[in-house]
Amino acid sequence: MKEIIINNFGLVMAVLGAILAALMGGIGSARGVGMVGEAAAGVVSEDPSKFSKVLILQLLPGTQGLYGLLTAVLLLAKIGVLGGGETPDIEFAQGVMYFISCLPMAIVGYFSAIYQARAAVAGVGIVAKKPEHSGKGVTFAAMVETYAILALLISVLGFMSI
Amino acid sequence: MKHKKVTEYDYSFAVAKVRANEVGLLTSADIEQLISAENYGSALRVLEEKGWISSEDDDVSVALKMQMEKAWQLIAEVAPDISVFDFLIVKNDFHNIKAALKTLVTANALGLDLGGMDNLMAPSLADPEQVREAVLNKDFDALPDFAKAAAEEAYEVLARTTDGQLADIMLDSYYLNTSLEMAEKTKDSFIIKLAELICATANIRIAFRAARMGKDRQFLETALCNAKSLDRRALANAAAGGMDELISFIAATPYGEAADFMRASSAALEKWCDDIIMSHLESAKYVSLGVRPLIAYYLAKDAEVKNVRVILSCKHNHFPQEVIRERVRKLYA
Repeated sequence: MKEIIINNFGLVMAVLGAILAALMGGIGSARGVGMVGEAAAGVVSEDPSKFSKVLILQLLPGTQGLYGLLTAVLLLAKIGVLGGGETPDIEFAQGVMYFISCLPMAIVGYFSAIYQARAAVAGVGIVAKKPEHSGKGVTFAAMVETYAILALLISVLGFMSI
Repeated sequence: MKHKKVTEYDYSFAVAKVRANEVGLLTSADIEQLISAENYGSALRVLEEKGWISSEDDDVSVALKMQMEKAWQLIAEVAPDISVFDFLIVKNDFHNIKAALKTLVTANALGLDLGGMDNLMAPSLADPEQVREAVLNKDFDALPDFAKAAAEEAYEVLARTTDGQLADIMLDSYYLNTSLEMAEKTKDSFIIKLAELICATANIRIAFRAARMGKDRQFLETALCNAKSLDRRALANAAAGGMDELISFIAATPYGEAADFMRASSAALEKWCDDIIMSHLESAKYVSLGVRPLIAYYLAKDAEVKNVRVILSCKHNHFPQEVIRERVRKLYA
């Protein structure tokens, strides 16, 4: 096992990067969606008619998990792991570059999901008190999405150009 | 077993539920409608429309008490850590001790049986019935640690002097100091500031009344609590020196605004004291996680009930609308 890892260190680093992007984005989204879900349940327990409005807010921090998954799938496809053929041969330096290119999505994905969830929870408060302004709550939370998209772009463009 | 530390994220359900309930708080328009009601009966009808009372309610004060009980039930149901409210509800423990002590002393003096008491307050940290039993049996060790010395001392004063007012102010001072200590244990700056405001405004009220009644320094030393933002000794000296000296002293403190209200009237000062606490609570409106919105909601409900009581009492006594408006406290909603 140790020998396989040492001989394929470049590939290991690349796969590690892909896993990290999917893992961090996924954890961030799970925490975020859970947090907004709890707040949404608080409102719906008092007024079930607000379900659809709070559901939109709950979905927003879920996108980082999807972006992480997309990053991982694209990288694994690029290095040939998903092809089902022979084990691809990747140089150590190249593997490290693949790993580094995944970091924006991994780190920004995790934190943007948490901060987006906080904004969405505040939006749930708007729905609770002034449901006619729920669109504003959605807009505030959606702003955070910009940075998750930028991170996705830089990660994908990064490893695609290696 | 080590308990998991409660974080602000654990409050997301609770805060959202409280926000949904805030919609039911009385607004300025509702209060205005109550004030403008033609008479006491019309004011009751407005409350009936708002769902506060029903036509079958014989005693309005019971219905108002129910409003607070409902608010507490909501908080107790959703708060992940109810112990952060200790600094607020400990007030009821001291109230129960006061009530039980008075029953004990009155029964002893008049040779009566120690009957039941219906003036016990909940929620409280110790079971009100146990507090009653402990005090009536003079078993002060059965009381919670924070109340043992206070109850014993107040009983000795009552037994020796039969001065109910002195015993009351001693217990009030113990309550405020205990509340401050409990608030500090939470390490939450919002709670610590709130407890400090409650204590400082209580000290200002006590000093004002003492100055008006010409009470001596010894009385003030017993009555004032240890609020950090208001030098206790200096306040006692100023109040013992008379109203003018007290007003000049207060004007130079962080509570300088109170000086103008002291000059106006006792009712104006009382209103200012409640309003400054409400101003502090307003910051919780813009927080979406953590315990602050829960505390603000509970105290907002308390202020709301207080407002309704003031209005009903004024309506009952046929006070003009302008006088009622002057007495109505600031709203959270």
